[in-house]
Amino acid sequence: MSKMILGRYIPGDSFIHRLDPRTKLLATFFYIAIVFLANNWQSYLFLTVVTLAIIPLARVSFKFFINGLMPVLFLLVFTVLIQIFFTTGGQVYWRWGWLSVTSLGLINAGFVFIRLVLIIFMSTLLTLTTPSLSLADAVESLLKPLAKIHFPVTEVALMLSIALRFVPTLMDQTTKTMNAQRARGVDFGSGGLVKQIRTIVPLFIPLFVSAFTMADDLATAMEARGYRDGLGRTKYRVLHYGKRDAMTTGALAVLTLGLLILRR
Amino acid sequence: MNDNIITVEHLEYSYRDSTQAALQDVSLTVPRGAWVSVIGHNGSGKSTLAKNILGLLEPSAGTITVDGQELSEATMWDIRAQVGIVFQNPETQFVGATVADDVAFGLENRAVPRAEMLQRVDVALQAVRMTEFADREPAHLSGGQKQRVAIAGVVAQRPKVIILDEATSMLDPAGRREIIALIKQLKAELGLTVLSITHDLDEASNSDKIIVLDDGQVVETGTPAQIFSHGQDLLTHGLDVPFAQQLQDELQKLGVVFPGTYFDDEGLVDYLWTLRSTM
Repeated sequence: MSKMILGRYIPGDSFIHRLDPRTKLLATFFYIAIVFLANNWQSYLFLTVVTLAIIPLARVSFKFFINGLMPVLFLLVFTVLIQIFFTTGGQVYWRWGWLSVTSLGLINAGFVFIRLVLIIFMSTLLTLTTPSLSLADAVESLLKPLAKIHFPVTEVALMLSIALRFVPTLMDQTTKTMNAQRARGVDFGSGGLVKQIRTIVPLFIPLFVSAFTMADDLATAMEARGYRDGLGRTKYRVLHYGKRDAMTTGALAVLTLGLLILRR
Repeated sequence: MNDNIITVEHLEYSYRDSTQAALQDVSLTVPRGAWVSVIGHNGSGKSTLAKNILGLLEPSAGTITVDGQELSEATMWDIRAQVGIVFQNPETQFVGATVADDVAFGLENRAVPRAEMLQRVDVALQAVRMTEFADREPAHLSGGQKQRVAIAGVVAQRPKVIILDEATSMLDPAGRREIIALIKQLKAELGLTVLSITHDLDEASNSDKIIVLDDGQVVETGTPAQIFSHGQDLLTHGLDVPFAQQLQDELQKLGVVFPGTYFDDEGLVDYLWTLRSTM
């Protein structure tokens, strides 16, 4: 579990940490979109240099970024191999049946590799420097225009924040239930598929029941504290765009412009 | 003094699928500024009573008046603003994603302007000594700390009454003592009324008034001294006897003479001390 980098947050106080979460979320999406603008080695070099220059701004150990690659390593290798062996065109170095290694294949494989790595680095940067709570706030704030078409934004935001808040509680409950069932002789994770599914039942049923009880208790507590519906509430947590967010927007504009100039 | 902040008259309540009423003809009063304990065995209707007072459950008969307002559909939200409740399980009453968010939750619901909210959250966190935990997430807090946050959430609302619905029952003895001391201090500072629903008789023995519930009925009302001087009779209501009274009973068996009244810990020490000095 400790190796999991997805959704892990490293507390800090760097330039990137202090960015508005909305900026970070939008910037990451935008970055992923413009990565596809690059189509020659100059533009890829430019992107790589810029990305590697941004990462130290977060003051997070580079090791975390490498770890972030691990879960998708298989996908990465698979895509690169497909590109190498199945792309035709350019000078042919090696051929066996319908498999061939060509100069174009190698170049494409390199580009795909860089593209994926850069995208993963940037998403890792987002999750490493933004607590899930701020991301939920950002999503709420960005969804706000949808309230106009009667989308229940505040309710969805509340559900999101309660869901996030209960993740550790439910994980705890899961471990407890698992251990309690183990103590009674349930053997998790062994045997065939059918047997494994069967051992899940004494874990899931109590978990669902306790989730219902928790939801009931929580609803009572919320009502006792005056919660009626999402309407007419004030908010404790507010987001502010600052100078840094303007700088980030500027940097993204320069990056886009640079890519547009460099691409063929 | 005849100023009762909570008056309950002939309250009846039954849960939908049970044959027996959870509360039968319950009438009680809570004097303003007092610490009142409701005691009774499991299933005696204590928690049902608390939920009825807040309008979380709808009584089938009877009236509830809180601070001059009779509980009804229309006054329910006003009454909830006057009465803060701390529930038993610290885990499931934590709404906010962080401590500060949770304390602010009740204020958000009442549309308190943000500037005032920030200040009230700060004051409330200071009152429960949790200021340095403001940005922590609930997963990183102990049970006692979560209960302190729940109390801060209530304090920030500035209610007139705090109901403790077995708020200390899931805590260890140290955490329990700490929470009770904290509520006592807040009660004195803010002039609150406390209605405590509890199993802990040693805690109840410190209150101004005790109401004993048994099977949904009020069987006795009185000061701790009056209630606990019944000694072993308390066992018939499914209750225990507080430690000081147990000690008194055991000493009586060994031939020490007592006047037959209830002593709390301090009173017992005093009595034994005077007894010894006259020998």
